[in-house]
Amino acid sequence: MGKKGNKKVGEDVYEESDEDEERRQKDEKRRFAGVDIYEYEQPDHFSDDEEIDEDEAFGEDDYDRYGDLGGKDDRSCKRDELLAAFLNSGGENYRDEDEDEDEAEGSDDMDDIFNEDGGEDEQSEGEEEEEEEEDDEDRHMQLLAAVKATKKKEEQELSYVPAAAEGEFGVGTQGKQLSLSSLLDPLKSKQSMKSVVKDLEEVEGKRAVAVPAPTIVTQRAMRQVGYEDTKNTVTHWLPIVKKNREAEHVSFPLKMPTGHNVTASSIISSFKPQTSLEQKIGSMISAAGADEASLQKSEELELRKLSVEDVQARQKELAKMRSLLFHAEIKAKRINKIKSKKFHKVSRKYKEKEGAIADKELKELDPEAYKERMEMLARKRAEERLTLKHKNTSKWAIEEQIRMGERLRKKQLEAESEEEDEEEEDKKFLDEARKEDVLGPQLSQEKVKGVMGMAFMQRSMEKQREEASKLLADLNAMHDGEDLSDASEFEEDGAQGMRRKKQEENEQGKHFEGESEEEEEAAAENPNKSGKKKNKKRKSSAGPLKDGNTQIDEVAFSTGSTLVVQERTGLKEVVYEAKPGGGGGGGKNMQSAKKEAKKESKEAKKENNQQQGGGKQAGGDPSLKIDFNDELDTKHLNGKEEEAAAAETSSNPWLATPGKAAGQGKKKQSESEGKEGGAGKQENPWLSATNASERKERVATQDADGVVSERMTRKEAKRKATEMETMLDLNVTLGKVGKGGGGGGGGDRQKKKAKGEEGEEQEPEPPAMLSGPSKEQVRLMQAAFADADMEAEFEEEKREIMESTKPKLVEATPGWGGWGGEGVREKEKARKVLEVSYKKTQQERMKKAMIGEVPYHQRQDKDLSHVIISEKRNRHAAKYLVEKHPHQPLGPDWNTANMHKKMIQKTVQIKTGKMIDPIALPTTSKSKKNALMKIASRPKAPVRE
Amino acid sequence: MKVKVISRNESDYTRERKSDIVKVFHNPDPALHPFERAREYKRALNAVKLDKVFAKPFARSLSGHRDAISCFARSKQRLVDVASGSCDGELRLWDLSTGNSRWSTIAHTGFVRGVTFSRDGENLWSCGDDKLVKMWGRDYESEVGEERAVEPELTLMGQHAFLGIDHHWKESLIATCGVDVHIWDPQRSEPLHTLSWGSESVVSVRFNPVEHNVLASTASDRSIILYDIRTATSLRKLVLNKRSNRLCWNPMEAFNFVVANEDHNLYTFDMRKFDSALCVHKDHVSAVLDVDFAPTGREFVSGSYDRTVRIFKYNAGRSREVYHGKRMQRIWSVLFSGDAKWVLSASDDFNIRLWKANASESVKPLLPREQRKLEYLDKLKDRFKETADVKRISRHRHLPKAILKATKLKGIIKDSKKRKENNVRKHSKPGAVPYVAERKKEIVKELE
Repeated sequence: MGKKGNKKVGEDVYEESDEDEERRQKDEKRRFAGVDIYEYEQPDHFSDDEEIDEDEAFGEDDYDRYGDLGGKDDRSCKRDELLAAFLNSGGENYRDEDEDEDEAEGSDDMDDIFNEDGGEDEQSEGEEEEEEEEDDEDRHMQLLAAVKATKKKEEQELSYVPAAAEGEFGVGTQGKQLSLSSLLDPLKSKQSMKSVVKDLEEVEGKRAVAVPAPTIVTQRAMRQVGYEDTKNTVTHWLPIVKKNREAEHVSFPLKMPTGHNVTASSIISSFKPQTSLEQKIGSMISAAGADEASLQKSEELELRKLSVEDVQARQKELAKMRSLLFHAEIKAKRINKIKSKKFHKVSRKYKEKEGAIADKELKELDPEAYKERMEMLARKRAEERLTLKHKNTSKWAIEEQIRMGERLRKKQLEAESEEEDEEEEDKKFLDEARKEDVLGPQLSQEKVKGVMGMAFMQRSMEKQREEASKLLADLNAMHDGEDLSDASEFEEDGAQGMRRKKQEENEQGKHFEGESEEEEEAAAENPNKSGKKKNKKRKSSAGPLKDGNTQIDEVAFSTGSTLVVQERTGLKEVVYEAKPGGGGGGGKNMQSAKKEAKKESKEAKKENNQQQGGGKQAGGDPSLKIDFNDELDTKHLNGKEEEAAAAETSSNPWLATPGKAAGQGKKKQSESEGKEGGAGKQENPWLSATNASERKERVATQDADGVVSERMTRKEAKRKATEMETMLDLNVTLGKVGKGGGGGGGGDRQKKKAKGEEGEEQEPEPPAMLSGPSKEQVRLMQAAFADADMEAEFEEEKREIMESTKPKLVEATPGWGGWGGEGVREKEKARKVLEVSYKKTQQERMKKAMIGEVPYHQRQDKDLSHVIISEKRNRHAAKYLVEKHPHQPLGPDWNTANMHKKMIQKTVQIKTGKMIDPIALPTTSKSKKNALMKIASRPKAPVRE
Repeated sequence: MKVKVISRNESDYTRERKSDIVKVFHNPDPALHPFERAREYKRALNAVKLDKVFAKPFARSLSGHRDAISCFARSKQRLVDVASGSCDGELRLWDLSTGNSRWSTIAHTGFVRGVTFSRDGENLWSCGDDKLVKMWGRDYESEVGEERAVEPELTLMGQHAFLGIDHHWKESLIATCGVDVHIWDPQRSEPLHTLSWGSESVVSVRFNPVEHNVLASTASDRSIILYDIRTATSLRKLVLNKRSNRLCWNPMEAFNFVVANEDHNLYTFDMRKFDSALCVHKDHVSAVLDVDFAPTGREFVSGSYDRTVRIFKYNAGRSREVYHGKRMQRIWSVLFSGDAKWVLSASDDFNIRLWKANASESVKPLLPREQRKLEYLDKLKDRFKETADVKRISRHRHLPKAILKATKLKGIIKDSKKRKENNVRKHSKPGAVPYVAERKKEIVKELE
């Protein structure tokens, strides 16, 4: 077997294991086949036994025989095997399993000759062979080959296994096994023996009775199974135990809750009249025959009068009714339940559809009523928009709000930092300059920050700007003539156009598209009123309006840096997008802005179709129009330039950076600005916003630069460095823009400063390049730090801080720490003692530590002269710290009687003189586990009485 | 001159009806009741001190035996019934309310090793060295009032001497231990089941009061064995370093039990997890001979060879109370009363002693107000238990010199061992001397 195993499997490389296998086989033979004798006749094996490995010394058999006398670990694997075998067989033979295993291992057709089954198989194979001889040649040959092979193997096996000696204890079988069937063969023909043969055959068909596993193994298996089972059983108590342990109050003896729920019906059914009154009433009821039992009885009597069929029919009907009711109820319940989102959606749509149909009908039947209804709906819609019901619902709205908040905050800060009046004017200049070139500061500001400051980003920005400028140039080329003709008008009245933008800004709408459209429409109406209405904005739009071919319809902004210009040329719609600063937020919103713009343009188209006739625009929103006109009228009537200037300053607010330009954009009151009314100021903000090149064309005078720089110098001394840098860059940009101003519409116009108070500082400097510090910057820096004695200031500050944390010496109370009274000479100087405040309790110290007020000796910068290390933490948190540890007294002096009683309740309450029984289930329920779970899942502790 | 006087109107305080609330004139303004924390602390401190003053735990001694008392048991139905067996074979039934024995008899020749009450409390069972198990009636009074002769109502004969006995909590089954554990049905003369695992003698056996089919035993081969009588098999064996003398199940927690060990400690085990003890209860300075859970499952009492009785909380490593007497000898057996208010100890000095479970608790019935006051003080003590003085005073116990000395000696020994181990660890390869949890130290192995 071993050899074959080697050949066949080829995996068992260890001889040792082969031997082991052999031995096992032999053991089996010895045990089951009754061929023990071979062992004795084969001295070789004995010699083998001598060389048993240490591991093998206490083998399976020994283990079975001697139980767990040996080491535990040694036999664990074998034991497991046995155990598994035992458990799997469920009382079946041990050896069967082993055989099965053998088969599984791959000794397929090669059966052990000592294996009974194998023997039989062979035999039957032989018989089959004879019977099917004529059937098929091929099969026959195959069979022959197989048989031959088997025989060979058999021979090998036989040569290996010693031949049984014939003697008084054994009969030689010549390698064949004696089976019961072979013995029975001669008897089969005999009629008298038929029953015996049959019985024996039956017996033969059965397998051998299972050899029971060793007691030690069975017992262990029993123990293991039993332990697991018991473990599970006791674990059912776990939730109750847990609950019991965690209960706040437990009262012994425990009162376990009853297994069933108390319902009204259960109370009624178990009700028995006890008090005299109850009994009296009960007796009266029963006397009247109105009690349950008598009612039932009378009903039964009634039923008896009827025939069986009738009763059946009645019952049937009742049952039917009941079932109908039941089903109806179920259905109703189900329908009630379905209220999903989808359901709502569907129902809503259905309603809408219905509504539309109704409207249609209404329109046909009663146009007046329909009109009314439409108006009502429109009013509702308008109301909704006015009240900004959905202000905070969209992403856009939220973003806009955030931006606005930021702007306002900035403004507030600036207002705080605004000091002198004289500076204010400078500021105005700055504001103007910024407003004129709205994108400038934005760009420069972005340039400063992070990635935007890098060279390649700037290059790309430059590229973008150029592209944008090209686009705009193309645009402008379309209506250059008008521009030129209008130029003089712009010069005078550009400020008026700006005013509208201010108005827009004041409206604070989240989207500007709609408004811009309206504005345009309004603007379209205005030209005949006064030439002044033509403004910067219409520099581009007015032309198209005149010829009716091209028109900039809308400008949509996603954030400050992204904007979409839509140009409508006849039926064609072109969308231009410009990302002036390559701005961070803008990029994200570009897509959405585009979409928005498209949508808007479509709507505008529609509106235009409705309201526009023959290329001439009719009025848009009447109210808006009126407002606008009014404003303009007053302006013109007054002719006040300051208003115009104000309008100008507020020009194009959404294009300005949220931080600065927008914040300052609203600052008006510059009187002189109106006079100047430079074309630069009057430029159409829409276009200027979209196109960088046109921005460049705008004028930012050297004067303005000078103002800026002056203002900076003053501010810088007090402001932080970062802010200053921003400003400086802004300055640089402005300078550049000023320089870059080309031959665009009024681009070469130079602004003159109205008040020349700071003229000396306003030398016309050549504008700095976009990258690299300019001379201007350097000069500014020097100016900023010229008079600041920073070091001294720092030292002073440090000294102050250190002093404030040092413990102070205070004069001691007279008589404190020494003798007092009459005749005692007072010391010249009162003793000085370190200030020790009785207030400085633990809590106070903790509080100080919490907000980072570190005492002198603990300061980290105690010995560092060049630095102040602030260890202050969030001092706002300090107000939430408690001064005193909260202490809820338990006593009756501080609590109400009920509260006191509640608070002093004992955790474990034991009733005196009551036997406390072990925890147990109240009822004998079918499933203990369920009952326990049920009890444990009750909200109340099971232990409360 | 204006003179202010206190004036009280009687009618303000008089209730019209009995059901009316008692009017209390109390101004709840916190400004009028300052220093609440200080005052409550003082109250707690005083309460702790008063506890010491009132700590008089010893209630009564039950005397009558003429030899050391080896075992005793309480009835599961009546609070006052306690039976005890002594080394001279005498069996006595006591009435705790009077302190007298109802009857006594020489039940066995040699030691009475175990005694237990039946579930209904009407019978009690005893076993002894004479290989006999006997059932006794509770009442041996005739209707006239005259005493009958105390005769066993039933006698079962075993093959070996018995060392312990316990009654099933629901059915009429008896478990005895000796060489093996036997389960007896009183209707049969032969045991129903014989449960054995190993050849050593089993010294104690206890039925689980919650899961009635489970029982556990301790044997002299240092093992603790679990059994299940449904399958009549043993379940698991746990071997400790030293012998466990007695075992007691927690009556409120089906799977937890505590064993009294020879190594001066008690161990709480979860029968589902034998790899580690749940808790090690230390304080005794000699072998612990018996342990009994309070019926509340919140604490247990243990008696030791060191002549002290200690009360432990079920999850505390140290005892909360220690009782000792000048003349009290080795404690053989201890009991918690059925209402968890009393503790009994049976000792070598022929006496059974009755102690209060809470030393300073009043035995008298209390007025509601008194009751509330005590509850309030208890809560205060609990609140301030960690403050130094309260802690010190509440923990202080007077101990006999011998025990004090032994405790100190134990401490020294422990420190020395620890030091030595640390030294060994220090000079060994890292990880060669592992740290072993105290709860696992005593566990030798768990056998399946």
